Order: sequence, then C-alpha cells, then structure tokens
Amino acid sequence: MEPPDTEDEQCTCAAFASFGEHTPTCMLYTPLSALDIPEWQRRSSSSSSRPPSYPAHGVGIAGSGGGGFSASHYPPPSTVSSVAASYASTSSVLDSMAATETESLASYPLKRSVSVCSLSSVASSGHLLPTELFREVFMYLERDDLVSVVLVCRQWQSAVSPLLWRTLEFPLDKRRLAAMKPLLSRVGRHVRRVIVAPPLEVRRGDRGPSRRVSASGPRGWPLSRPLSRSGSSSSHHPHAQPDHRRRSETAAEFASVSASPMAREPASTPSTLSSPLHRPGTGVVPPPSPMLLSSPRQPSALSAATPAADSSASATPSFGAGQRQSPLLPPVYAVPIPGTPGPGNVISDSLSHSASGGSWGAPGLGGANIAGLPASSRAGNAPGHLHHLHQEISEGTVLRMHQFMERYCTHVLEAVVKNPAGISNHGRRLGILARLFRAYPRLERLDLSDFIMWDTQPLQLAAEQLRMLCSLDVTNRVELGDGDLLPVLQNCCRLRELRIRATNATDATIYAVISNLSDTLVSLNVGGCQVSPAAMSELVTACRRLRILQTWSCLRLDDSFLLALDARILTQLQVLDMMDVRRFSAAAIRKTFGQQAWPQMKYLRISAPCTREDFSGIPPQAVLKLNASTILD
Amino acid sequence: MSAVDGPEPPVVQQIMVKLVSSDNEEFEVSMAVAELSMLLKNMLGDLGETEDAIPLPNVTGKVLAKVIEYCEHHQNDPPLIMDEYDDVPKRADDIAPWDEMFMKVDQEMLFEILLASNYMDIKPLLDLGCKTVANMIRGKSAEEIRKQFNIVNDFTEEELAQIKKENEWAETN
Repeated sequence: MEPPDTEDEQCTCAAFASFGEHTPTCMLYTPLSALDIPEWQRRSSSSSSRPPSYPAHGVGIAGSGGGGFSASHYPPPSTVSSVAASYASTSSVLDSMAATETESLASYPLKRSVSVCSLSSVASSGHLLPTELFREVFMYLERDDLVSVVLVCRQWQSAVSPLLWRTLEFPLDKRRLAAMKPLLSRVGRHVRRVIVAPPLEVRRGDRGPSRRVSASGPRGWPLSRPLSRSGSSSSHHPHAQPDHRRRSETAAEFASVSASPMAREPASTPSTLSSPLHRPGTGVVPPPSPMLLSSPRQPSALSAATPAADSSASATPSFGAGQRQSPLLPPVYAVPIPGTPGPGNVISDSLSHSASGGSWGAPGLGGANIAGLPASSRAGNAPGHLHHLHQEISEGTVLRMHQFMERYCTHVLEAVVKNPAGISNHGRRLGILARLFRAYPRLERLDLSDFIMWDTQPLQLAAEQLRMLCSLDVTNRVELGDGDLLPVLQNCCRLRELRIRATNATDATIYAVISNLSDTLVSLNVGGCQVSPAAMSELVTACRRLRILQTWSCLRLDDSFLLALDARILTQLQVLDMMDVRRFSAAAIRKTFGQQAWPQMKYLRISAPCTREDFSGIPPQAVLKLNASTILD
Repeated sequence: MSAVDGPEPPVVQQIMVKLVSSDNEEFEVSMAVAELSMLLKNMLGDLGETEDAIPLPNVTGKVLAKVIEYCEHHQNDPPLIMDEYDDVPKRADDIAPWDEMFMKVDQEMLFEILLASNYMDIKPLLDLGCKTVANMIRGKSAEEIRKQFNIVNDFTEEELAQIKKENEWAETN
C-alpha cells in the first residue's frame, strides 16, 4: 500500500510530524464517534471492513488487472494512495485512474488526515483543486446539483461519488434488490447510510413524486394490542423519500396483481395499486364506516372479503388522491407537532374515537389497523386467491438484502429502518433488525422512528449488538417507554444523540441518561415527554457537553429548570428549543439569558412574557424565537 | 476544540510572528492572528517562542497577504465548534457580507485561497472558500459547469449515459 509518490507524505509529515491528528479538511465530515474512537481502532476497523476483493494491484498493472469487485465499465481499483494519486500524479493515465477509482475508499469518512500537496503538483495534474478539496466544496450542494457535478469530469465524479451515494435505499423487494446489484457493485463502497424500506409505495398523482408509505400489516398480530403500544402517525412519514424511479416496476407489479381476474378492472394506472380499500363495505365511499376500524378485530370478516368488493375497491379513487384532496385532512398530518395530542402522539385509544367520528383524515394515522391498509390491500386482507400474488417479504429477500449489505456496502455507519410492511410475523420483523445489526455491528446511527415496536425486543437487540451506537432516533414511537430505552442507555455508552420526542419516556429515562451518558450526550430531544423539571435540571447540570436540547411541549418545565441552565456548565450549548413551554417568568429569563453569556448559542426558542432586551447574553447573530406560535415562526 | 476558555491573557497577543511566503515575502502578524491557522498554532506550540520566520513554502506572498487579511478581520471570532451534526448538504447561504466582498476575487485567486487555507488549516476560511465555489456551481448543468471552470470533459458518451442511468438511483440525501 505504498503510495507511488512519497513526496506528498513528506510534505505533510515534515510539518506535522508531531501532530498525528492534524486534519486540514476532513474534520468537516466526521462520523459521530470518530472523535472518540482511538486511532488504532479506527484504522483497524476501516481496513478490516475494506472489501476483501480489493486485490493489491501495483500501479503498473492496475489498468489491466481484474478487480473482481468493480464493474467492467470502470478501471479496476488500484491501491494508489488516493490523495497522493489525485494530487500529484503527473501521467495522464495514472491521473484518470486516480480520478475514477482511487479516492479514499476505506477512509471516507473515517479519514482523518490528508496529505497536503504543493500547489505545483495540483497544477501539474491539470486539476483546479485536489479531489479532497472538491469534495469539501460539493458538501454544500444538494442531490440535484450533485447529479450534474458527477457528469463534469472524472476527478469530479470521484470527488462527488461518496456524497452522491452516501445514502442508499434497500427496498425489501426481491426484484428491485436484484436490479440493484450492478449499481451496488460500483457504488456500494460509498454508501454510509442505508434505508431499509418496505416494498410499498403510494402514488400521489402524476405531478408529485410518489410517496412511499410504510405501514404495518395487521395480519398475524394479536388483536388485543396493548394500548400503550398503539401505532404512530410516523408510519406516514412526512419526510418520506420521493421516488425517482421504479414506477415502471410498480406498474409491472401491479400488472401481475391485476392479472387476477378479480382486480382486472381499471388497471391502467399504477396509482390504483395504492388503493387501501380492498375491504368489504369500505371500498366505495370515503369516509369509511366504523366497521373499517373494527375490521382488524374480525379477521374472519376480512378473509371473507368477496371478490366483488375487491373489484369495486380498485375502481375507487386511490388512497393517495384521497389524501391530497380531502379537505378533512387534519393539518397535523402535514406538519406533525411533537408532544401535542394528535395522531401518532396519542397514547390511549382516543384515536379510535376520533376516527370513528367520521373524519377521513384520521384513517391512515391510526396505527396498524389503518396505517396498514395499503399493505393489507395487497398483503393479507385481500381474498385468498390474491394473497399468493402479493409478494410478502420473504426470508429470502431479507437474506439477500443482508448479503448485499455485507458484500457491497461495507462502510455503512447509519441505518434507517422503515416499518416493514408486508411482514406479518413478529420474529421476522425483528429478524430484519437482527440481520442489519449483524451486517453492521459498528453502526453509529440508528433511526427507528418509523419502525413500529410491539415490545421491547427491538431496542433490546440494538442495546446488545450495537456497542458503537452514537445516535438513536425513535421519535414518535409512542409505544416506547422507559423499559425500551433503559437497555440502550445502559449498554451503548457512546450515545451522543438521543431523539425520543413523543415517546413515553419519563424521568426514569432522564436519570438513566444522567448516570450513563453524562460524559457523552451532545444532543437530546425529549419533546412531548412527561419529564419533570427536577430531572431536567439535573440533566443540564450533569451533561456538560450538551449542544442541542429540545424540550418541545415538556409542559411541566418551569423556572426551576431555567435557573438550572448554567452557562459555565453548558459551555457548548448551541440550540435550545422550548417551544410551547409556558411557565417561564421574565425574571428567570433575565437571570438565565441576560446575566449569563451564551457565546455558542445559535438558536433559542422560548415563550415568556418578556422582550428581546432580556436576552442580552445571547449572541446577536443567534436566532431568537420569542413566543413563537407556530413551528414555522 | 472542546471547552471555550475564558479570554486569553493579553500577553500572548502581544507576541508577533514572522511568516515567509514561497516567494520570500515576509509578513509579521500577531500571535492571535497566526493561531487561526492550526498549522501555525501547532508549529508555534512546538517551537515555543521564536524569532525565526516561519516558512510557508506552499503559499505565495500574494495569497498569504489575502489570507492574513482574512485572519485579521476574524481574529476575535468565537472559536468554532466542530459540528458533526450539521447535515449534508451543508448550508452555503450564510456568508457574511464582509466575507462575500473578501471572496470577490478572480477564479485563480479563489482556488489559491482554498489551497492555502487547507494547507494552513484555517477552517473558517476553507469553509468560506468552499461555499463560494459551491455557489458558483449551484443550479448549473454539467456543461455549464465545465464552461465556468474551463474543465475538459474526459468521459466518453457511453460513460456519461451510464452515469446518468445510475443517477436515477441517487437518493435526495
């Protein structure tokens, strides 16, 4: 692995011989734990996770050797040191190779040191800037610009690929997974973040992008779901990824479904696929009758659904269209307000009451029984002969996903798991997580905010397997309580970021955070949780590294919490968001934000009977939202 | 990098540091200004007090003057906290007016400043340079970008088609 040109090494090393941690550029994008992981450990991890199929080509044979791993369209990888090659290469052959394939594979984003080249070597390579620096530039661009940038030239392609392919979605769909294989073989090594998504999508008309909906199918679940584990609105994620592709595949799938004599009718648009209304008595007229709500509790009625009902269902407007057009749709659907009583944040069964009140907006938000409709329309509740046409996510699909992850995407540090609609079996749902965690035991960030958890097992599993976990997002998982969170808090000692907004976490969680994470916690969102001012006061006194603290709608917070905020302790506090907390007095505000200086504060949202003059300790460039009435204020 | 310390003792700021560019131009700056560059800060920490001029063989005098101008304007900024929580893409629309004026230079100078700030490890200046270049790229097609920066397209048509096909799989974030 000797770089061909050691001059670059020298030019850094001479200057920084005693500063092993010198990081001119690459601190900009650092994984959460990078600062904590000892250097040797990082090295070993990145090198051991390098795909074994990277053979050690010499520079000379790199052009002709078979990578085995990379596709034939591209030159095979070489072991030319990325930076050295892209900076200092003088031959044009080497140059183009460097530009296409040799950027830092294993080291991005774990890369910590960059050799700094001389200007002359850049000039001689014909590049305006070294590839590393271009990558820094491209970090400010969004996808739509990145797809242009990647077409500019080989060097730019090489610089931008890690950004463009940072996130990749793994659909739990056999055919789509198979279609991804060539892509994965080329770009898999760039992937740092995977999204495991259900195979389902709901078309939202021709103009807008289709919206992928994850939902849990009610089939196979015990009907007496514990009230404390109701579903969540986040099944319909407001930030669902727009779909850029696969419409044709969707159409093809639909075609296969509609090939059934029962569903043949107006099968011309794929959007019909998304009709959730393959249920007796509900297919024709929204709003649905209360029977819809009770139907999950009557599985026999479901399985007795008649073919006639099914075909009538496919004639109704699509679910997506209904969503878009219905004036009854509650605004919370578009902008979920954390911590406020609303769909998804409701812990009791009051949601069912509101739904049975006849609002068409409520269905789809009511957890498994309704959110599962699109799934169930294809999964289990359709008549039996349709059942076998639907591709329930098979063990094989999950296995293939696992294989692809292990083989091609070996550098993943973050995972988002959408609710695996199409899997009715509890163990198999958990199995997805188990496989994901086995593929990536060093996962740093986990987002399960869309993964409905029926018991404490999912987080128990995470606590056992993911010792490197730095960030956990279970926002809106209203079914979670202290019992779910405690194992994670006790086992994942690197946790720095915890998003438990609108969960059932209470003071027990806060105290567990204090006793386990006081040295690491940097970001906490406890919006909507029933936490006491005493516990939160202790938290802000103990967790000195807090930079971001969000306590939306933690309605019990009062002046005692405000007065516990000590600028000498929270020296790095940047964001403090206490939207909807209304118990602060002007005197406490003045004492906390007037008499103490908060030099790092960037954003403060607070409600209190006072004026901006009372916040003299906040830097003038910081954003101060005083008495904001909506989240958009 | 970790905690924000109190105001530094004034004695430290009195000390002047000599810098020599690649073309042997000599500059004298205060310690506070020099220490915005992590490279210099580390070297000075290593060398201790020194009368010797510190050579910067990768930076020309013209560029170094510009870099020093930036550092002198920003010497009293609060220390930057590394924010790994910043999303990718990062924001590029928060350039301060003075910085924007400062960056109104020709393209060659712009890239030289980027290289120098990378070499000298001056993160805020590097960020500023990157934002400026990013804003020059934003909203342009590949061909427009090539024209803007005078870049030769070294792809074949087939490769371009292949990349375009792959791009359809790219997620938004």
